[in-house]
Amino acid sequence: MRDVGKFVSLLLALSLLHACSSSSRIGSNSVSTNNMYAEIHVTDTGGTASVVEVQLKEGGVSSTNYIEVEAPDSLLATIQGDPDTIHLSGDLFSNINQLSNQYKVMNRGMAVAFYFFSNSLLGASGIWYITSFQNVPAGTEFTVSLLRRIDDGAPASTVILPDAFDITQPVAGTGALFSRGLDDIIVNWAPSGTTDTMVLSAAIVCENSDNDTWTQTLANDPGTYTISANTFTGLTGNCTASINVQRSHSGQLDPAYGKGGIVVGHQSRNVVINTVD
Amino acid sequence: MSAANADDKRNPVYVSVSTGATKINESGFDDSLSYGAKIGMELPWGSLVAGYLNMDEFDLQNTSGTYVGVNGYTLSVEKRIQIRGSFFLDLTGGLYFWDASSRFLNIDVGDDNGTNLFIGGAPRYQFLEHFSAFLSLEKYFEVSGADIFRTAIGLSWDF
Repeated sequence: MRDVGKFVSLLLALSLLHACSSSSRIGSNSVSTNNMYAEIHVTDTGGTASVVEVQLKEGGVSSTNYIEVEAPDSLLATIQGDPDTIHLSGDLFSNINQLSNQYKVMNRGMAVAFYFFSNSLLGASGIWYITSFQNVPAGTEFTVSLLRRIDDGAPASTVILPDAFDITQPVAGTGALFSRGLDDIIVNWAPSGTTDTMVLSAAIVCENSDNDTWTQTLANDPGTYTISANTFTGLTGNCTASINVQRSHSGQLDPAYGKGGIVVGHQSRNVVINTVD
Repeated sequence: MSAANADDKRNPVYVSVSTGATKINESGFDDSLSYGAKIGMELPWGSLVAGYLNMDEFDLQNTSGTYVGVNGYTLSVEKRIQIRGSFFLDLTGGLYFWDASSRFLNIDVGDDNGTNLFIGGAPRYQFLEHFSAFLSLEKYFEVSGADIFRTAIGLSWDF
């Protein structure tokens, strides 16, 4: 547990360092939707919550002009569909109350669900908007809406949460000790065989602060992958490795985002193992 | 002057205006500031009163641009009981013909309307021959599924 804590601390420190690097913040009221790029992730990490994370930027994918959503604009996430289709016909008070639970206003936060668990926390810099839903089954469609008055906004970016799975090997804890130079690390997950993209990644942090990362994208979903011995080089001593397996499914981005973007649903699972030379 | 003599001299028509806080029994909503006006005609058994009452907008807490607005007309009967000297107690009951509209994050999401009962009471102090002030407490039943309580202060002018 102490190793995991050190690992998390280092990644958070790297994130904060990166967040302090050059970037700018711009209010949403001064940017048309046609000039926005959107990055949307819906991530289930195997617990009870599915986390929705959204970042908007002025300009394209490489822009560092992060958009802060200002009133009357709002970002909504829901599993109920496009908010423009809402029609209440009675009991307005209780129904409005229910809407506020079903259509969640997103608030600023740290994008840890996707980037942290996929071992690429540096991507989590900038301004992110977050909300979560409890106990959402795989196959559920999420809708993310940018609602605004200066134009029609982008009310309907949709993505389906992919099928869930578990990492069956390696098993964290006792016995999860590998030699980086001698042992292959066999990663198994189940169920498998979907048509979704699988991304395996690892971040390794050593007691002497050495660190390394590794990523492998699989076009299919074979249910197993072997991380060969000597994949992690230049490290010495005891190191903790966080291995992530992620199943990703792209959705439909609202075309009103004139600079494009991505909307992706993820099932993300992690296992932490200990390694020696 | 006895109450009977005072009633004998009063013009049978009066008007009132009021403003006050309205509170809903549905959690999560702020109180609203309501205002209303009514005109009454005294009859031998009491008064027949018609009015307009705007309860304004009940904002959902922590969700900007989200509220339910209520307004409508009232038709009621009212009984004024003299307590002592210039102090009276009004008892009222009637119908509220209401319209409600809702917005969720600045999107119109639905309307509702109906006719439901309301009851109320109001201590009243007559401070001039034709003018009185009152504090009214009213309950409106099942306005778009919720009970609404109104506490208001007002002025009446007897013609």
